[in-house]
Amino acid sequence: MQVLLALHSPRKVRWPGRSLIKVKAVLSFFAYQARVGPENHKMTSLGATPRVTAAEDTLSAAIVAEIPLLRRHAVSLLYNPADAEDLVQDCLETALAKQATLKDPLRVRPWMFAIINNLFRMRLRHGSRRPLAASIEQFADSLAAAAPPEDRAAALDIARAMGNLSLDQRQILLLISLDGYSYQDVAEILEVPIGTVMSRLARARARLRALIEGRDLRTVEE
Amino acid sequence: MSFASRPTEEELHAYMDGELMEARRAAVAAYLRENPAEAVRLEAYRADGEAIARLFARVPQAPTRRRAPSWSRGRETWIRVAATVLVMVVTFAAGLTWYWRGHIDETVWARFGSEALAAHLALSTSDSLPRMNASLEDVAAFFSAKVNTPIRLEDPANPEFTLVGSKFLVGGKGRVAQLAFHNRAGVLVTMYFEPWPHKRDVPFRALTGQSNVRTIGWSDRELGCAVTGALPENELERIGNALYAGLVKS
Repeated sequence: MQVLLALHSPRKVRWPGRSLIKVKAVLSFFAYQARVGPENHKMTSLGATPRVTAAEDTLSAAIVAEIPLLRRHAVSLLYNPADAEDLVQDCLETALAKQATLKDPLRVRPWMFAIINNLFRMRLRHGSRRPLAASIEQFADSLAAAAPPEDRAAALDIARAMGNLSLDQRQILLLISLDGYSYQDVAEILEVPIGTVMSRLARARARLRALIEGRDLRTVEE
Repeated sequence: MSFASRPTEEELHAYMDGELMEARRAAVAAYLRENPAEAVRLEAYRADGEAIARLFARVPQAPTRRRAPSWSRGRETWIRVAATVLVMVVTFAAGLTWYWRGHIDETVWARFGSEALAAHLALSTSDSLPRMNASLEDVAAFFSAKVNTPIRLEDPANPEFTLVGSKFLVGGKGRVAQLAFHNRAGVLVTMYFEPWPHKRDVPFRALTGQSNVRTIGWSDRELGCAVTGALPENELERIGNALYAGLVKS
């Protein structure tokens, strides 16, 4: 039902076609749920879409099934659930409208991650706001609060350090460490050479560690 | 280990992530064995990666309420709607108030004019010649108390008119005063005064008439005034101006 909530949230429809896309997404989601059940939202191995292949099910249902992971990625990236929700919905609409551009139906997930990261970069270019320091702290606190008590201090360190990374650095760490993508997948998602992925990842890890240890690597980074 | 075989930072990370090409793995493994500090550093990166996975795996995958805590498009829309409704309500209320005020004004003026005319006609008969039943000081004291402003009434000493009578009457809204004058031709002109319910001053206006007798009225400083006589309205207006200016001092 979370998909329906996302689709029906009070958001301005920018052109009539999007309403049709949303209706189609809802119908596809019902069909998908009827066949595979809600447990299929759990993350599975990368690259391939879990259980339901494009040959067996409609592509739009497979797209809708990726929403929970996209939402988790977007929230972790933006440190702001409301902005993340907007980003995910934009991604869903774009994906449903551009199904024909998906070359390999078995790679729906990386394709959608590429879309969401494209949209994210577009928003940055068009001056969308970056998370404020206060919201980073707030979100970090809420993340750490969900950790077991014995891990809470370390979780808070990581959450704050991640919040203080640049968005590019946070993005690549999330794609590799959280979403488990290969270097090649990340290169495709971000549309950069694999060498760029490797150097960006190395810098992001060094910067994260420095922040955790209380060192300042900003001069090295920039 | 020679300098040429020393792995790059990217190769170290790729080795840790299982992404390093087969041909370089052995060299990197050897480098890490010979440089335990580097191995520790990589281990810290690996641990950070696992911590990231654990931490962000707890991020809710269900939708969240949109932008509720901050200004948002939805909230702006509601504020716009509320502002529009408020403007409409205020406009409607103002219009209604204006309509009813005008309506009330007309009723008050009609009643006032009728009473002034009736009081004038009552003096027109030979049985009721105007007499000085109330002094100008009494009349002035009464109205001063009513409007909370000192008002002084003096005989206008206008060569055109002679004050021939003054009295208190009981009108539809309480005590009122009437002053009677004769012009040189002996035509009776009366002035009728009443405490006025509105503070707003109103210029001359025709109120009522019977046969050739006309009544005009105005309000000034919470004092309603009417002038009645068997004269045209513009003449009554001139007389009213002259008498009022000479009569009422404050």
